Amino acid sequence: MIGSACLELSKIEFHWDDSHPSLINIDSLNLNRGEKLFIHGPSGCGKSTLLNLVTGVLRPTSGEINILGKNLFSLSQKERDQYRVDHIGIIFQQFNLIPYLNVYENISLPCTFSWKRKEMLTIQKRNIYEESVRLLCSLGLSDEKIISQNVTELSTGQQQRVAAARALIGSPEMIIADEPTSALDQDTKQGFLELLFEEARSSNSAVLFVSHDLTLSKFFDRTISFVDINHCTT
Amino acid sequence: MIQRIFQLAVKSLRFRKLTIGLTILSLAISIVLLLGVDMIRVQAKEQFTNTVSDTDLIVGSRSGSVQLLLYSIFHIGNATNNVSWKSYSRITKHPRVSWSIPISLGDSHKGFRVIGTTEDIFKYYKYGKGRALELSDGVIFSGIYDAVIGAKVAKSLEYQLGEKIIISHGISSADFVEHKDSPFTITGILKPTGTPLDRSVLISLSGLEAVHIGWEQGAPSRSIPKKDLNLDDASLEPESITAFLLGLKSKHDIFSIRRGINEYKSEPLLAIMPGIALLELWKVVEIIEKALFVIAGLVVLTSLIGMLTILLTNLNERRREIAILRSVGASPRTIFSLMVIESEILVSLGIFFGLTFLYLFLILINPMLFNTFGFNIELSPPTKFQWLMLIAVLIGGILAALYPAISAYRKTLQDGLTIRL
Repeated sequence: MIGSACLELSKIEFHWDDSHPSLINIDSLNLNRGEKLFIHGPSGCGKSTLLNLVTGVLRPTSGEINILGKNLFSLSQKERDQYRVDHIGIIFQQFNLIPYLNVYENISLPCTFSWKRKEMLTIQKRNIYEESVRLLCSLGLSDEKIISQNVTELSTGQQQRVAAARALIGSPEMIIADEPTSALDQDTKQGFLELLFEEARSSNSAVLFVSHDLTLSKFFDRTISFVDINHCTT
Repeated sequence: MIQRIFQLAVKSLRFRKLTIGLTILSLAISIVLLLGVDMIRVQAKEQFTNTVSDTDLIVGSRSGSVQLLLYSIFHIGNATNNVSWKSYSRITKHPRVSWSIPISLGDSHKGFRVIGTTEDIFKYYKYGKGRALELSDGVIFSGIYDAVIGAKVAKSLEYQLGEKIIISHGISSADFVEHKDSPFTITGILKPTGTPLDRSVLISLSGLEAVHIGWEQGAPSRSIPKKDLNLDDASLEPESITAFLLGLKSKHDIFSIRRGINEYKSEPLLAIMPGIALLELWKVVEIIEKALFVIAGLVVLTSLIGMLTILLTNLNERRREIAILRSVGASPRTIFSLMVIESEILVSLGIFFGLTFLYLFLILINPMLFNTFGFNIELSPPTKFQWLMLIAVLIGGILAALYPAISAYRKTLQDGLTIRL
């Protein structure tokens, strides 16, 4: 499966409305299954808009976005929301967790919204709880008590690991990470990335990683500068 | 899916226990007020209406008809003047009068009113749907110092037949001048009626007159000794009474007899028809009723606005949470339902606790209501109208929640996955 296209963008153009200039103007961007792509760009350059486009939350003004060969915008909004949770795990910069759910409930969220992610676990002959514990463990949170803890009691580093576990559960084909390490200190950054990649590799998930921190690029298969691919006027 | 959203909603509400709890409390209190006002109104009316039946006219000295009704039947307030015995005798001897019950008020026993009357009260007084007074124990008064007590008097003072009681001069508990020299013996206890008679002590007019011999100055003068008296003693004929109830031989005569009494030359008298006086009373009360109702409605509105405020304030804090839910596949519609379900739970809990508080409150104030106004609130389930009000509150709650839900929906589309805090 490695090598087949996971994400294909072609001739994407986006602006809020006609009075606003284009924010995004990308000719093409591809990501293959199992590939780790680093998109580098300073903050405020439109990376977040790109993520909203790639995940089907925003509709591009023109152009086509395919995920696993499926044109996102041939789907209805509801189908798109479903498609997103079925195939993409997302990690944010910080505040990734829902404060009123405990660690386990947060990790299992994608499985409550997606039959496909749940089904993947069944195929792997694992139940959600065991898999949550396993993911936490391999992400370096081996304390058994942590699974039932309130997320508000966790440190930022622990929260990011729980968020990673949530993105990984049910082996989605693509992991999108938006500056997930910026709230972590230098030492834990690398460890976090290694564990994330390890898990992504075992389920053959592609990783799309967006950050301003160029020092991280060495861990990736490929690095793209956002400014280089985005040909918009501003 | 709805079930999952519901679980999320419950957890989210539990997470914000304090603000949500206070919102529910304020809703609950507003519902207590809204339904409480209506329940007391409905039941008070019913019990007032049930207090007097089959009486054609109530006659007293000239004052307002509502006032006469209140002091003669409900023992609220006092008569400004009395009716002379002479007028009473003349009117009741009218050929078209079938029966009469004299009522003489002014004394009390341990805070309960003493009514001087005649045996006719047991024969002719009717309450509810034409029910006569019945004794649960003993016999009606026959001697001068005999007394029949109401069910509530017997219960709260734990009186039994044969016990002696002392009657105090005046009706407020501050009047401590007692007719110690002439104790009364309890000969009968009335069955509960749900009328002010439950809280009354009935004695004969002669008895009332007898204890006041030598009290013409309003206080005892010890010099005059009491002689042996009996019920028919002409010297025990009172000079005046407070009011009297009349039953006529034919209903057709009510208007002409009433006119006759109202135009009575030798004394300014007023005859009222109980039903019409009650209607007048309702008219007076109606203004207060409406005012209370409007206030209750405004309180409900205020608490709904309070809920709206809380929901909107929370919404900003929850944009992050919404983005996370979006990232795991929640559609804007899911977010919308989450918001609506949360507020529905909130309003439903408000209504539930409101009803609980209301019934607890009614149980608590019942003794006080009974002692002050002589009626009990029966703990009956909400009436159709009250259910309608509750449904209106529920719908109001859902409407109030629509705004935050819609703006959550909009924000969801705007923010996408990338709101930063």
